[in-house]
Amino acid sequence: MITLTVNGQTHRIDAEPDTPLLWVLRDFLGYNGAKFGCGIAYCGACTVHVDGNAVRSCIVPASAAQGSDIRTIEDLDNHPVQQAWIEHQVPQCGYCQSGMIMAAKGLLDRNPEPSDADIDAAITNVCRCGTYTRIRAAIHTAAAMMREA
Amino acid sequence: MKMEISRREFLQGSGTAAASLVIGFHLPLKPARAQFGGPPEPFVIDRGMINAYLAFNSDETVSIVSAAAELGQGSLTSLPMLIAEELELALDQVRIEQAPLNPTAFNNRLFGYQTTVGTSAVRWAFDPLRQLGANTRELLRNAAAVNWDIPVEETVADRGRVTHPASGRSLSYFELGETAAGMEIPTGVPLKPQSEWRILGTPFPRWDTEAKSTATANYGIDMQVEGMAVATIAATPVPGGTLRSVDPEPALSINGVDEVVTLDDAVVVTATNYWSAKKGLDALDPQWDPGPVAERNSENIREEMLRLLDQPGNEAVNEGDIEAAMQEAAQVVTATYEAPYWAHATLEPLNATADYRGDSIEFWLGTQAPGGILNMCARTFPEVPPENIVVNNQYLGGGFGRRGSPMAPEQAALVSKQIGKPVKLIWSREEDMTHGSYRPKSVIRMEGCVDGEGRVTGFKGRIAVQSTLASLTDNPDVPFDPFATEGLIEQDYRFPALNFEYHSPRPGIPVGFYRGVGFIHNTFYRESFMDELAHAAGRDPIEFRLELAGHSERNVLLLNTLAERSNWGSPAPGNVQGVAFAYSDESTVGEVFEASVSEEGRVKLQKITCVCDVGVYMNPMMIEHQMESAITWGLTSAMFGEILIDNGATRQKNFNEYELVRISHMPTIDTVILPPTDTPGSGGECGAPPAPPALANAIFAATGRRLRSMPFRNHGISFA
Repeated sequence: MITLTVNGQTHRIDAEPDTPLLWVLRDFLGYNGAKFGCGIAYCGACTVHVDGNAVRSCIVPASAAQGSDIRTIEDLDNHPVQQAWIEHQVPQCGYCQSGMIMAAKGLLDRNPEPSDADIDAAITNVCRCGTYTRIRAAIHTAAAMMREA
Repeated sequence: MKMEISRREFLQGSGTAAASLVIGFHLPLKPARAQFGGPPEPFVIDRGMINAYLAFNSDETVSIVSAAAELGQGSLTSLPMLIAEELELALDQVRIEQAPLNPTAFNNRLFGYQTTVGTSAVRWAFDPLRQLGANTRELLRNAAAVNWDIPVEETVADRGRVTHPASGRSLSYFELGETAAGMEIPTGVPLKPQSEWRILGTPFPRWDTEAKSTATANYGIDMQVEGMAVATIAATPVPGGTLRSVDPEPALSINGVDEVVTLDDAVVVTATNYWSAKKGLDALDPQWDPGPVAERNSENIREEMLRLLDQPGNEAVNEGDIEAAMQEAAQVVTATYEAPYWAHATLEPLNATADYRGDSIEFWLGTQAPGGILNMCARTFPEVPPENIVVNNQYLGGGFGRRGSPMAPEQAALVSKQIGKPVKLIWSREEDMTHGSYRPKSVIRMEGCVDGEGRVTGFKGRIAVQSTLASLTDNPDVPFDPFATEGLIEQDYRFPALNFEYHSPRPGIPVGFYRGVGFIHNTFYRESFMDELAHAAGRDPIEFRLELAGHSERNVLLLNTLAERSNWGSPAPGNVQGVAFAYSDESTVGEVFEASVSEEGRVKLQKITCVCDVGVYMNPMMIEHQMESAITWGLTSAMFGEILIDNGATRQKNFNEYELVRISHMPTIDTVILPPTDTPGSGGECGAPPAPPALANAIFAATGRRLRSMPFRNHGISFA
């Protein structure tokens, strides 16, 4: 059995200890926001926060996340990043955007006023629809909203 | 257009059962390339059958109920604009509802074959949906006139209500439904001129943005069905191969694994969760009979294509006297170009959920072609009556031409049939990458000639490229391939003499539609080669193109706008520029790429200017999004994309071996949309084809090196 704390709730889960956090969230707990894209931590569609850090949950064994504070996109409630995403009309197919939003929030939690270069260095998630220029603009907007709040 | 009034019973269970009036109509989702003379099944879809409904609800909204797929182009935002414009609704009064595809739903009216390819959803609906809105508006005005016993001319339709200004009376469309349902729909009502549009042509945000920003949009991979197993699959690594044997024991000892299921050409592990299924599959050592394609590899496929370039091929075009033009020319330029197989690499791996129940099958997945699943079921599950097949379409995590295949739903239903419960089948990324329906590799030799004034007098070439139609229709003898030469023989440029031939080799690698189809590599060939000709003639590349495209005022406007907006000829210090221009799929796009290039060949894109002529457009915001998206698509193809074949199998397994453009590669994109004409073009693909040659031409401007094959990183070019 594995014990995980997700979005403030503690769950005991009958999963193999090597099961990646992504698949525990999706197949055992029903949190479908984090997406499966590659399974090798390349694309970032599976990004969630573990103890405040944006991580690629497809390669983190669930057993290693025991005792940590795990947050998924389902924990966000009209977060400035989400507001900025809607304002800039970022999503196209939308599949990568949960991971993008969590990666952007991870950046802004550390760096409240990122430059374009900071964004380019921090946001390595992949969007196959090519929404990148809007993502960059939305992160700047979200940063301004968070600073004013 | 066929229309029928029907009663609320039609839509029981669809969420619109409370509608007072339901109007069935045919939503014409033609494939974009149908104008090439009607490709054979499965792409013939326009049967004029009812496949969508308007439902008038008590909350004064109108629902458009349809099984059309939303791929990410925003077509579901643009379709309501067409209806609302003539039906006199505010846009927030129109809702889109995805209907399950079921041939006997809605009172036994067969749905036409449904597919969403080639950015067609909006273009083909442009006139019919406006006409539907206008005819229905007049029906409702007639109903009000009958209710109030007044001439219809005294009524006004606005924001979902008909009013009688003289008496102040007013009824909602919903309230008028009972009366209207017993009346004839007027036909041929005149449409508003463009100058009176209130909604069309104005930017309007997508209706699904919030769901996609809050993780409430449900994709196929998110499906949960009561009692389902989760499965993953390894199909034959070599196309056409079969499964010889597999020992299931190593998988069955893994916790969570239920069963090992074998298909003719694949082995599947079912489990309580994906991770257990994957561990089970990884533990197996399936033995394959690979079949004849195992003799093919990238090298011998390329060699075959190069040999074919020395033999006469099928004639695609022969205008003017090309041999005389070449003989009389002041200069002749010859070059050989090539492009690799490309994978769609949709971010959501292919997947499907199926529940086979003996006399019925229900599917849940994101698909571009629900109707293709019906065709598949007729072949694979003849025991199931077609009226008992239901396809529930979900959001698609990227389509790009890949999500029309019925392969994953077929596999899921076969497994469900064997284990007797619903199955969610998820392909691993490795399975998805190695079992693609790739854009075919091609090799081309081109010759161009210019006269003493530096004017082009002739353009000829011969290309070898697998036939996409032959692969998709499983018929190697399809007599022609319109996709082989699209982008090479269009009439956007006028050449005094033009001659192209093509060969359709059959190496057995599965190929299919890929965003940009033939245009994406053929535009790279033509527009890079035009740059070579311009350079040989000592001409400015845009001036040179203005001469070739100058027969069209729109082309001249486009190229002049592009030169002005991009500051052509005066890039920022240290930067270079490259240009490309192309018609594709009823739209025309010109792009200028500005970049800095280091001595080591490290390219940093600085700015992209895109000018597009998409005819008349519904939603300029969607056009801008699609240009940005398609340019990024073109860049991944040009910079990194390459699928290689070893002994019939795909070498690249995951994104670490098939790199995709990231945010750091992308500069700002400045998009200009030319003023509208009166016929719609397309928006979803046409931005892609000019991107590879614009980049290649910029790199030439910096380095003097002509990049005659993609991807560019094979030339020692890197991208910052």
